[in-house]
Amino acid sequence: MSNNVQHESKQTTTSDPSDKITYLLNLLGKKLPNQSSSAPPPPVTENDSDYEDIMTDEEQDIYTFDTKQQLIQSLYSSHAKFNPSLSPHDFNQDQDQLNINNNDKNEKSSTILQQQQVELLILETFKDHPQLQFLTGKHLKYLDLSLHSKLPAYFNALDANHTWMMYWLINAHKLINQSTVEIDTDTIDLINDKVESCIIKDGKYGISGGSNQIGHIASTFSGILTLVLTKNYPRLLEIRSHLYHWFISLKQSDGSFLMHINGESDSRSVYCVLAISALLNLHTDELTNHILNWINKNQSYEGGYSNNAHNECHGGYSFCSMSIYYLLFTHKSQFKTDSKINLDNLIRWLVMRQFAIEGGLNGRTNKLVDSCYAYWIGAIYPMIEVLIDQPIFNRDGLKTYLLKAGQNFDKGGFRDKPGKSTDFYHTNYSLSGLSVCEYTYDLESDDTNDDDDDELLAFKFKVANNDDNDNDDDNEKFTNAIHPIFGIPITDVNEIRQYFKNFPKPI
Amino acid sequence: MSNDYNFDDVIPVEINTEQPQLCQILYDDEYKTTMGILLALLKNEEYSERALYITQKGIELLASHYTIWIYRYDILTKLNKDLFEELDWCEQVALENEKNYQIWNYRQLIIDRILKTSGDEKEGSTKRKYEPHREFPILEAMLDSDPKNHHVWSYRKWLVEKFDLFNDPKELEFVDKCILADLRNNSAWNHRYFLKFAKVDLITEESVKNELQYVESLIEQLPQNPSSWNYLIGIYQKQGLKLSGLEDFCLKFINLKELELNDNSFKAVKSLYALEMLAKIFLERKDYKDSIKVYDLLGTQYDTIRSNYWKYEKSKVETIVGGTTH
Repeated sequence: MSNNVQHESKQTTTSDPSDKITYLLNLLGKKLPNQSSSAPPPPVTENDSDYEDIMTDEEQDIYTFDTKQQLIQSLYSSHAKFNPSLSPHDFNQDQDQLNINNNDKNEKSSTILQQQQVELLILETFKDHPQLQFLTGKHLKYLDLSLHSKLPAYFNALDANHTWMMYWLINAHKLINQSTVEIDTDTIDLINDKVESCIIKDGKYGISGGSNQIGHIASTFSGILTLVLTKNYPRLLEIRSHLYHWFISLKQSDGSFLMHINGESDSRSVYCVLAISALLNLHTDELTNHILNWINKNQSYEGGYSNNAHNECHGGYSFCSMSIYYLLFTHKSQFKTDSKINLDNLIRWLVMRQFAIEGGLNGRTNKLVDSCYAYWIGAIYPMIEVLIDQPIFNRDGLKTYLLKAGQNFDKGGFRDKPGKSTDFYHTNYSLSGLSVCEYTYDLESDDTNDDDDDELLAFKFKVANNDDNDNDDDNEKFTNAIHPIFGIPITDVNEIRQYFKNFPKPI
Repeated sequence: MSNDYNFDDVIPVEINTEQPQLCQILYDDEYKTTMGILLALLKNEEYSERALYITQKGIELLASHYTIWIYRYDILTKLNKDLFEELDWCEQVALENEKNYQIWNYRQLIIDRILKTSGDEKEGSTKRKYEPHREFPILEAMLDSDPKNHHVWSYRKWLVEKFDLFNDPKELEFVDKCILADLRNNSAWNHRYFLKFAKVDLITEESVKNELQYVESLIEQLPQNPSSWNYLIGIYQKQGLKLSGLEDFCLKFINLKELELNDNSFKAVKSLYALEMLAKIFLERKDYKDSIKVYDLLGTQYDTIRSNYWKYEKSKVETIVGGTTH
């Protein structure tokens, strides 16, 4: 989620199956066996920018031409916690090739061609990287370079996302489990400067995506999270009541909020407002009025949630929607009494997002795997697990996808899928998703009868003590525990909650 | 930059020039100049022809820059510009920026404004009337190049709701065409569900029957397609139909005899969704043992990636069994 960046990758696959191998080779940056391939053309260098030279990927592997079945067999190991598996679809396809009366013309659909190509691509990548490893040093280096290098001109695509860039990079850094490396105070100051350049009139008109731009709820959300991460509580204290009145000015009669004046309203804007308000202790009836009615309408017949009623359900909007319930409710029992949520449908839709071969997740039915959904969908899993007291998804599968297919082994950072370039957005949400895989959660004692307990359910998440952990070598964690609702380390959430809890709410 | 307008009097805003700073973008000169002038005019609250012009330049350089859209809308309304011309311009921008979504919200604002201002006119006014079908070619072009574009489909839903196009033959024809072009286009299925089931007064016994026939025939063409199965299950839930009505249909994709052999070659199962549905049908008719058995098969053999989920579904059946024996 961001105000502008379209994280859904453009479908670049070719529709002619004969081009499939060429396509894969291009995507992977791989070469044919026993065949010399010319080096990729040098990147266009921008004035004074060393970023491009440093970040150019030099990874080149051999493409094997094995079939899906061969690849899966070659990968199979009884020691592995996750082995890719075939589905009836694969079987039927083989059968159809023998069947002359094959009326399955629809398998030439663009969806299935792209899906088949990605499966092969992922299996090849798995084969290249048999071990699960996490390149801590390279990731820290990638983040450091991204913060401090001058970025080439094409980065102007992120010119309305300056607060998002800060959040993605510093959050990714804090999620990496490497306690000896802290962000130095000079850098913290510069991060604060950047957010400051986007705060408009002490928050009276919100926070913008860049200096001299107009306030936007999503930029405000990422700006606030960044100040939480730098622990700039004094500044948050100064702007909190201004932000509150700005939110109220954007409130709609149906309960939702506009992203900005004359902007759209959807579950993102509502989530962002509620999350900020929870962190800064700004929740009032005036602010939360009618939201419950509004959000209840957004669950689609498939089970997931959409931006607005009747649209196609989607990972990002489902994350926002489920979080909204956690930011409105104070007790678990309210899911039954106050929400119209069809939990069975939601759970079914959520688990159907995981692929048997890739191990990773997609964000909508019949779309491709993408590492960012490791967080958008992945973070909803613990929100469900604490309600039903059972594990609900395959953590090893998702972890395998992130570490083997998402991770950039050459330069650090993460990407949507092999063949895509590494970026800030996917790096942050891959690490966030990895954290969801590495931890399980509980809700703090939730006494339904205690009416005095008005602490939001979102604040009751805590990391579970896994004494019954059957894992032998799994004690080493690559990440710190993330808070599923707020998308920052759980320790940062607890700390700011303690700090702001005693400041009065606006009247 | 074109010389049609003169900006000599404008002191451009410096964008992100402070040193040192993090994530500093090395803007090219055109971007720096255009945005510098644009943000300066915005700061001065200038609503003029040249300001309108510079927003067009800005959007051409970076369509996702939301501030420009907000500013442009204000200029447009303050100068009382021709809104139909603006719609034409929007279409060009949309085609050049497939993934952009600011434009669709912007287009809604313009159309809302057209409706509002034409409502003020007296009968017989010569003012152009807005005709929602003018949206069809641009939407078709957009969805042709990106058939699952969520923003475009969301906009289409808005349009249908706004102008009550639920029963519009062209609309139905279009969504049908999208589904048949790619049975796995879930966005198209979702839109069809919206057209057919969002308005309760449009649902008749016959329309439900037709939709069930439609989706079942397309599941037979592609038994392992989650989009069509979800559509089918959606109708059953919405209409409160008994799942047992689907038993014969499901058995077209499941060979029960071979299933008993516990052979993992998928010869017995052409569709996991049919197998899942069988577990639910067994549960519905209180055949708990078989329901549990099917969930076991799913979790241990046919769909192991979701073994946790199938265990959970099984545990729900076991709870019912436990409840009935006590």
